[in-house]
Amino acid sequence: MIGTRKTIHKMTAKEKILGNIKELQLPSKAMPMVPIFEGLSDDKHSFFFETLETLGVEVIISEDKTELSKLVASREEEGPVYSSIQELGYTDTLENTEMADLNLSVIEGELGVAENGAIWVEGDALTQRALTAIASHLIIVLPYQKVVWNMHEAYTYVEPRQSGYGVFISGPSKTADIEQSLVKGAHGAKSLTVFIQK
Amino acid sequence: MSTQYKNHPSGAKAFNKNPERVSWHDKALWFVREKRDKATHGIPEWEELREIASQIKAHTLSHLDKYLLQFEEQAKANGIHVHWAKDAKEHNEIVLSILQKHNVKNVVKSKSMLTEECGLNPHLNKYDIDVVDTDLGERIVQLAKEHPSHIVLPAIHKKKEEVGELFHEHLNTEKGATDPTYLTRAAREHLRDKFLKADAAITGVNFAVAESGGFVVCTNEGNVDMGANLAPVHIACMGIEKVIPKVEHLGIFLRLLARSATGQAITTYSSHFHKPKDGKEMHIVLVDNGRSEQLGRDDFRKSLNCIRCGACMNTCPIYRRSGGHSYTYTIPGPIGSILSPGKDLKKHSSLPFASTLCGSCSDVCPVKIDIHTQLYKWRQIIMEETNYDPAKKMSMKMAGKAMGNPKLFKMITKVGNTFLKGPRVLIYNPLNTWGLKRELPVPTQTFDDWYKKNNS
Repeated sequence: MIGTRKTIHKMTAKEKILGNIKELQLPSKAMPMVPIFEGLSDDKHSFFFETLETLGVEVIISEDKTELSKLVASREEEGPVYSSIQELGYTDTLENTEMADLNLSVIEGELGVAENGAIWVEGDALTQRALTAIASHLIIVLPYQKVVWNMHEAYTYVEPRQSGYGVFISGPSKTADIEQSLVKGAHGAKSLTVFIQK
Repeated sequence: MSTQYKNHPSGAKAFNKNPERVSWHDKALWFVREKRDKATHGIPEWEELREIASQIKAHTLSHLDKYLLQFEEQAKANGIHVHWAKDAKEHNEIVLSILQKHNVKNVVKSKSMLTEECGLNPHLNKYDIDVVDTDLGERIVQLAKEHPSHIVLPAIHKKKEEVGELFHEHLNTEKGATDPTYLTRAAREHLRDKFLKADAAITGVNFAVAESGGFVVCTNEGNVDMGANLAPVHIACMGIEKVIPKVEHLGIFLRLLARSATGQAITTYSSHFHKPKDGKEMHIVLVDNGRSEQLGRDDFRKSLNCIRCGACMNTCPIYRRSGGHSYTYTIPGPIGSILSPGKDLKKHSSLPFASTLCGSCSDVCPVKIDIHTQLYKWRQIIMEETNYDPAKKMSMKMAGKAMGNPKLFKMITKVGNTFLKGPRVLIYNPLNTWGLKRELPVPTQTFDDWYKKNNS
């Protein structure tokens, strides 16, 4: 909708909003320092695994390199599998409609946060971003060393801008919107398994 | 959007017609408040986090123009389209024009109180665009043709039997089914279909980061990650106060938000969006709609700290017993009662009075908004500037006079005592609201007599 050119400049919404704010000439308030906050116990790994369990997550800690492929293979008959880990040998290219039928999505986690059980997943490492939520069940593979204490520490490693889309996932999708009853599997995964590779 | 009631007392009265439901509602919210307490007590630096969060917000608000510009510049560099809307009307027009450009017919929308505030859904419906709210609670109230009664728990006022009825009618679930797992599964299937068919997704924004030009949306259900990632167009709508300076500040706010909201350490999904996927579009609409005006009010500026956790609602003795629909503003409870008078003083004049001023809201607020002080300050403005409740104004004036005059006060307390001991009809009649539905205590002596006796 282009109008006729007018001699009086009509202020854009942006100019009006910023003009309103500038006009207030608010006194500057200092930006606070964010200190380093310590972890909540001496053992971040145990804390992380316990947190995951309270979130209803199945935790598998394995030193065996072949265990993951055995685990995924054992669930093949339940339905279609996607994996971003090419060595596992499952499909890694999918259309929207195909994704909807996925039973299992196996993806890699970049970092685990002990305090809240959240695991950072780089969405753009996946063929489709929705693979973080769309399969009925989700397995996140996380190297044992990649655990930090809290969100402050996490953001010193995680660079959300680089990944375009990234998400901290802490447990299976859930809701308590019907009378505060907790139900797992709202829109995203009904179950989450965190596979810790030592 | 507002509810059907003309003021809070009439809404509260309607809700209180069913005492059993009031008690159930009260307990459901107190349960959430208790979970919040447990979660916060596990964090030794909780108070320090609140203080830092409050300071970050104060700093950002004092340079809001600068951070909005920085955010826009960085978001554009990321390939995101940025739009500015002065008010609700402009916001709705912008969203509509994006949707029309892409010939969108089906929209999935995740929770966004801002789009409720702007009345976006009815606007889009007028242009034959179907908008499906995908948060389970929001879908429930949408099917019931209601509005959310809580910002985090939109259907907290609904019983599972009512949800069962709605789903039977709209989603073909079995008649009489009330099991939450069964009902949730039915909604999952129903909404999966909507996600896959959607031409566009609309989401809210919890935090927008100026330095990185991206934004974070928090959900438990995963509806944002489904909706925004499947649809070819993603529109995120945010109030201008949602911007924070740095990525590292997310660490502070994400530790505070879910613990304050539901007692979780973090929401299940904290989704960070910075760039659209190749071949897709991402838009952000920055909305003022009265916020820059509120920013100019020294006494009320801090209300813009709000991160929409809902803790003040869960703890409020009035909210718990009057229900979210009793409030005349989209955002109910204590925070809504300090945000709304600045928008329409007359329409929302009853809201700052919907409080006992107990201060519990301020105590639980993760960004340290002095909510109860602001409620008190709005009351003074409302009494000065509107014709709110002339009877209350008169009685307050009289009380002020009596309390300022010791002789008169003594006389009145004596007479009052006599009244309480006198015939019941003098106290328990429709004219005296203090005597409705309760027995007033009968003092054995006046305070003055007691004081003399105990301090002689």
